[in-house]
Amino acid sequence: MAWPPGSFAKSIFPYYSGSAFSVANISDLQVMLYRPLYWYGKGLSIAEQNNLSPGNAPTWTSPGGNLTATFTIKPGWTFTNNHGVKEQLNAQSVIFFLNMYNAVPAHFGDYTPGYGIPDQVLNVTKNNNLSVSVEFNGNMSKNWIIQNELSQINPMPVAWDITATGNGPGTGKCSSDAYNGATVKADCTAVWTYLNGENNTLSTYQDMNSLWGWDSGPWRLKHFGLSGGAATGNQTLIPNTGYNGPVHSKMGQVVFTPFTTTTAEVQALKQGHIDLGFAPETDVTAAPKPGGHGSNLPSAGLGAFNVTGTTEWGFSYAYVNFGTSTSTHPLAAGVTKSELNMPYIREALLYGEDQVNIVKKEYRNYGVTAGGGIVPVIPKSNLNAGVKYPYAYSIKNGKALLKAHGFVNGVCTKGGAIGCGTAAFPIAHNSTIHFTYEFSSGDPAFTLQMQAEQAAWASEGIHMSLNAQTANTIINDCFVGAAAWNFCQYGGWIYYPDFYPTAEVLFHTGAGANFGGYNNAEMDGLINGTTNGGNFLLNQYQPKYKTNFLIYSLTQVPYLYQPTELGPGEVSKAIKGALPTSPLADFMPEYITSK
Amino acid sequence: MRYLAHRTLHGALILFGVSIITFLIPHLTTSPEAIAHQVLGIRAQPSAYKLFIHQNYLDRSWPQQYWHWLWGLLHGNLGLSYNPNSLGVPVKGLIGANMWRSFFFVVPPTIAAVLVAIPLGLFQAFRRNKPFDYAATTAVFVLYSTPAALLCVIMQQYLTQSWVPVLHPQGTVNTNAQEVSGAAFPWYMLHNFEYFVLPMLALLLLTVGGLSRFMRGSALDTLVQDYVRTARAKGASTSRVMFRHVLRPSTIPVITILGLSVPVILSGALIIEAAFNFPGMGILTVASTQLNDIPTVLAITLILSFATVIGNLLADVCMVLVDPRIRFEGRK
Repeated sequence: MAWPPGSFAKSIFPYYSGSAFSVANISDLQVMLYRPLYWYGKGLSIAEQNNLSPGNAPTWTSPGGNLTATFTIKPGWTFTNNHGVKEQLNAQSVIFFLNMYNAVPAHFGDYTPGYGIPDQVLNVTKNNNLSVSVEFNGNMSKNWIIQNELSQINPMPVAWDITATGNGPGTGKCSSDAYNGATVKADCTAVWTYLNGENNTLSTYQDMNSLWGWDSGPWRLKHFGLSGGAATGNQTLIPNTGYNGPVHSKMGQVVFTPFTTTTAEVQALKQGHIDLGFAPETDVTAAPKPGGHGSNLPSAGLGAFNVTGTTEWGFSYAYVNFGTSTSTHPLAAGVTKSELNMPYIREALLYGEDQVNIVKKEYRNYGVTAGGGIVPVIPKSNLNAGVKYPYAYSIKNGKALLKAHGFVNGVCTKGGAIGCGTAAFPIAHNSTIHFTYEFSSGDPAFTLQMQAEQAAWASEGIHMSLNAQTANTIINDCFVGAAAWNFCQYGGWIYYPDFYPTAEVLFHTGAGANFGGYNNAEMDGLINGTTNGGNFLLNQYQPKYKTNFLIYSLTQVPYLYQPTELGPGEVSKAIKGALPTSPLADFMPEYITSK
Repeated sequence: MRYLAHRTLHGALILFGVSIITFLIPHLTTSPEAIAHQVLGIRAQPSAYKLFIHQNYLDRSWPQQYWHWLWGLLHGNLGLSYNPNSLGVPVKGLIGANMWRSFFFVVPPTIAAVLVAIPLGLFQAFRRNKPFDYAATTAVFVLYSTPAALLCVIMQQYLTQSWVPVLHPQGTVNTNAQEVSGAAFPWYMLHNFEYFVLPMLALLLLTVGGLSRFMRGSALDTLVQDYVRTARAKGASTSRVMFRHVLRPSTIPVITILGLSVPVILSGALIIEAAFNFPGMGILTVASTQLNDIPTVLAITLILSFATVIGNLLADVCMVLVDPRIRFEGRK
């Protein structure tokens, strides 16, 4: 299997930091070795797959109004080391993770201050060897708790609960301390410090006798290539013979091969030296419909390969610089442009995106439109079922919307103190609309997309200056605040391992990834409603999500929604069995039946 | 000795100047916050950014940062990498592994190119404006003017699939080469020669293209010199004239170019490495630059500057050895 160009795993510790938060590290290495408590995604389903999860679904109680999730762990699931020694995956394995999260939350890449675990956890209780209760400080949404919070838990073996090499399992006491105990922070910090140090010592990874050899997943790491102390991307996994969960691997090994450039990877595909790889849309057969589905297309020019679209549970967008004074981000606070604060102008911009044709022409159907706003269109879910995307491409609608607010042929015709704006954000008579759009250079398909949108926006009367920059410059300008910007696109957002698309990290006032300074009390209230929104039952909750939060976030346009490019993946025709990836990008080669 | 001492001092001053400029450029164009965001990702906590900036001395003044870096350099510490793919790994180890591979990759084709280009240029000069000269000039011009990337693609496309099926472009399968470094790499190349034939051939052809043109031009200049005419008038044989009187002085431009090639030997042939996925200094340089890996970029730049200074010095010494007139003028 080939890594996508320039990408490979370099971190094994499943208590991953922000810098190690990547598909390569988590989906292509860690989850293959160490099973998360709840496994999400298989085939085209994003749902939790209970048969693949060590944890059973929680039961809920609300003593005193506080939600408590109680879950059991399947008996017989174990961690196994290289000598066949087994350690039961049990309540202590889960509490070990939760105690560490409580002690050093900032070192975990999915930590959101103020939300969920650990900030909203009152207590964690071990009911028995296979049962744990987590008590929260309010009556939260169960959907949110199970899909965004409990989904983060990666049970860890007590063999890792040490502070120095050679110490006995559990001597670090992080796995046995009480969650609110006096020593838990000190003990777990010491254990984390040791484990993080071992994680940074990459030479220990492929030593199956080291602590990283305690695996609970279907695979073991046999080889982890190094050059000058850094990972090379050469990675070999072999079946974990001690694995006692479902779906055992049938192949002798899975070899990952790195590539620095797309050209080199395409060349390797052409020569048939790899069985699964990635190539640009331009090198493969166009998919018959958006999303790349209708998979198993014969691959043009790549020989014995089928090509299929990859999927990702996320969405693409450009940050909007609202420039509000409440922003926690310096640049947003320094630049205020009234036009950006007018929802109708942001809506007009969406009318100017011919997303259907962009996906068809520029992405060759290896992509999807932003039809669901913050809810991805593919894989399908019932979260946005029946919700119609309100901004189908229409220059006419865009112009009409602008005209209704006073902009005629791109010029504000309203006079008075506020003109075409509001009291807080006045737009003067005779003003025109000018923005800049900073985006990452180097992707020809995206550049063509931007040029098409620029032309359409100009037809509506909105002048957009395109500014293609390197990733470094975008980070410097948009996330740090080194230069002025209006719109800024840098990748997108993937919901993992917080699968429920509540987007609090993006939309909530002052949130960590709210780089544009979006500030809306109503949105904050709706977000709080989706996360702490009371004791809704599963079936009752989703309509509220849809009718309240989702539709509001669509029509408010807090970020400029854009179609998502989903690069095609190629699979050798020699591979039999299921395509070994989940819609959440987790690699599942144990489903390959033969080669 | 005095000359050498003078040149060494001169070289040290150049290196000092280069180190200051190289150090200042990334610090003028990138903020510590941007580096922290890029390295740690946008999901990291603000406290993590602050800690990274502090631990890497990025919150100090430029002179303090420079002194910290220089002090480490003088003690053999080149710092830790900022590249997310090698975050926290000592730069010394990264460069060491890649540089040796590039060295063993670049040196054999360079030597081979010299052995081909010198007689080729000499013979072209001797057969000036004859069919062989025209044919060779055409071929060499094609090589000289072909972009390296295009040549690599053509070779990969045709030499591996249509004409010579046994050859494979390195990078298609054998990426384990990354894990072999130092003295073991030549043996690895010998045992996996089929993967290295094409990239080394590409480097050889591109180098021959340039060197042979200089050699031909220089030999033509030498052929009209009085001492060559005198040798011929004295009845010396053609081979004696060419090899005894023309060859040595004609190689001076080639020696100059080879001296300037020393940094290339250490830095790797960037485009060829990228095209063939060769795990050498070229790819490390590109990745470090793209990802703002300042400690690695600084170290590479300084090493290349050092190699440039040494290469020039070696070229000067070689020219003194090859051409007696330079030796004489040096003494005067």
